[in-house]
Amino acid sequence: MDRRSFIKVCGASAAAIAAGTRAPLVYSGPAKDYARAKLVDETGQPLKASSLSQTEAYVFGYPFAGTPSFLISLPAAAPAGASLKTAAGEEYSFAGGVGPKKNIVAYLAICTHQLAHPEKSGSVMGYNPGKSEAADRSAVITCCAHNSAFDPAAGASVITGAASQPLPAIRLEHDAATDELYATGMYGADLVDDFFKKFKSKLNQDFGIGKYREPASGTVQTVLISKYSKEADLC
Amino acid sequence: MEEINSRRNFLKIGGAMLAAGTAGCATGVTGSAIAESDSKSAPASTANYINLPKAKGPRLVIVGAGTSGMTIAHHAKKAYPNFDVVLVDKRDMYSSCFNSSLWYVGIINLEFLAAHSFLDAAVNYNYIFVNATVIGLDRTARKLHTNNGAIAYDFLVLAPGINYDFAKIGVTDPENVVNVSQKYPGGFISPMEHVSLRRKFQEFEGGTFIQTVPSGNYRCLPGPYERACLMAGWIKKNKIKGKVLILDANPEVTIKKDGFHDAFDTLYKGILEWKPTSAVTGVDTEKKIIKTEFDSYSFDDASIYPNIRASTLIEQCGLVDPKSLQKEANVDTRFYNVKGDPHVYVTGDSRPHPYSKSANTSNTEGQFVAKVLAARAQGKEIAWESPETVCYSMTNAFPAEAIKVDAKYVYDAKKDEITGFSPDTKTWEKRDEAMGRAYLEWAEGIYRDMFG
Repeated sequence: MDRRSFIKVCGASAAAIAAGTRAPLVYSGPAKDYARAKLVDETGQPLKASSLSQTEAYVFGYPFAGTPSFLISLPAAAPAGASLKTAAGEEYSFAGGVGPKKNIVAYLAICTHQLAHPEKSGSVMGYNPGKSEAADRSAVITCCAHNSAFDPAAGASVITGAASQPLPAIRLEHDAATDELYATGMYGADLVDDFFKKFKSKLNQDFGIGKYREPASGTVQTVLISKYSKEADLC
Repeated sequence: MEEINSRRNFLKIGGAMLAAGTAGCATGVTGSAIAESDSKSAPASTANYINLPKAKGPRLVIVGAGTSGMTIAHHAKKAYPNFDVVLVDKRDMYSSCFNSSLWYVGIINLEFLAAHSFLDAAVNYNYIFVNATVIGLDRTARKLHTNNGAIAYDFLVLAPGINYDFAKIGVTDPENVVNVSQKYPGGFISPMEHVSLRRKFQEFEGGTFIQTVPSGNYRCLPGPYERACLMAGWIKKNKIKGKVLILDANPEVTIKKDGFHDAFDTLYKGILEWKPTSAVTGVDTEKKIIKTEFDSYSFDDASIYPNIRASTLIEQCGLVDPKSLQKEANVDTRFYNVKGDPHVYVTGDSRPHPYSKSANTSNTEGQFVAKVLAARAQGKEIAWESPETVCYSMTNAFPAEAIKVDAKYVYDAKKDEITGFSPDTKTWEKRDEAMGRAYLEWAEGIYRDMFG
């Protein structure tokens, strides 16, 4: 199994190198490829798509060590195709959930309004599988700082609040043979530069000087938000 | 023609300076004056202008580096990068008014409020910060006069905030005004008030601490109740033999009433007393007595929050709405320009709207006004958008627990008025620690939007 994955990674990279271009994207619009990284738990064991918790989000540092992303196993399939638009007016469409039930999605966990995100000390960003008071519905991503809510089944489009654009989506791959998950890129608004600029001193403190900018690659630790943040709040 | 223009401009400047020396502002603008003055023509004399880099696009000058002015500076430049943005403030050091009461009981430190630089904001959002005090405005010539010289503008935003109106609490004698404002600051305008109030908390050893609440649309509706709760919490935690008395000019707690009453009744029973319909009618700082219509109350220490009015700058510039009880500006209800003058705007807490005078309101309003300015600089108009008031109050300090409200507003086109809160307004009035944490992130988000 490991060998097959290895070959796939090499194959994909080799193809990209040979063609001199990035791998073709299955969606249109603003997108960036990042190094393919396998999602693993705290002990380094690969996460299995069919046994993910559905009661809260997982957090993983992707596409950089200092950029938290959410991995979410939704109660139902998240179909591809939702039309989305960045605040700058770039149009793109949602690639849909992955996994056997097509219900696994991932997004950059940085609020597009004023960049709140999960930190070790706490998080006002979270996935609420139950009924959200801010959004008046269930299965939403909420940012409790200013009451924004996003729909994870529809490309994290804005349901309510001051956020003016969807959360950027993390492109996932599911290996049906191993049931393992990989992150391979990001599409939607590009918040990373602005985020790094605004949080540089804090990120240097939390991750070590300059470490937050290190791109994720190989494997990336993916943990439940209740373990990632001391306090994880929903609204 | 050139010479005639030069002479006319010179006379205007001379006239404006004379006026500035007396009333502060040259006022009024004729219908023809807007068309007459051409933003692209260089002023004939630059001798009294601040020596700024040559404007590379329409110059947007913003007065007041508070939540409103800074939000507009950031978002106007973002929405229309051709704008040459100049932000003017008399302060050279920022310290946040919103959530400042949390500092008194140690929930946040001073750095949380004050470690924000105007220089960083200007660099991050690509504009010019000018540290100067406005002394006059010539709307005919489109010139703003400051103590360091004049600045020509194509668009001007005045966001100067508020002043206290002591006369409305029966404090009229100048000596009494000085005593009340210096000894028992209201704590809703300047950083020095916050420093003094924090000291009052730390030095309080017992007796009665009075917090007054004014009538009218005062800045930060829940602010005085929150501060009273924090003081009551401080008394409780430190087992001080004292109590808090709220003298409220209003018949009911003005916002989030259930959440505040719950805190008064369950957390601070016997420590906090709330007296509605108790407008202050006078203060004797010698005897330490606050008078209301029917009673008088002795205190050991106090924070006396007078009524408020728009910044005196609005009045000095002749922009007051005659209908406004708080001397707020006479601006277009939807687009904030001074009526009849599409080049001058008044935003933030000097606006006449019944909006909450609070940080999130000014932040969301500022984002909208930035879009209005960007559109108008390109000869376009946009549709009205409501500001949004998301506002937390820490009703408990130990542990930090908050309540909140999330409100928008309704515009009535027939009346051309804001008629109230929108039907989807929500309140969360069962205090909890999650909202206590969100409160801090709420503030930091707004700082990031202002400073980068």
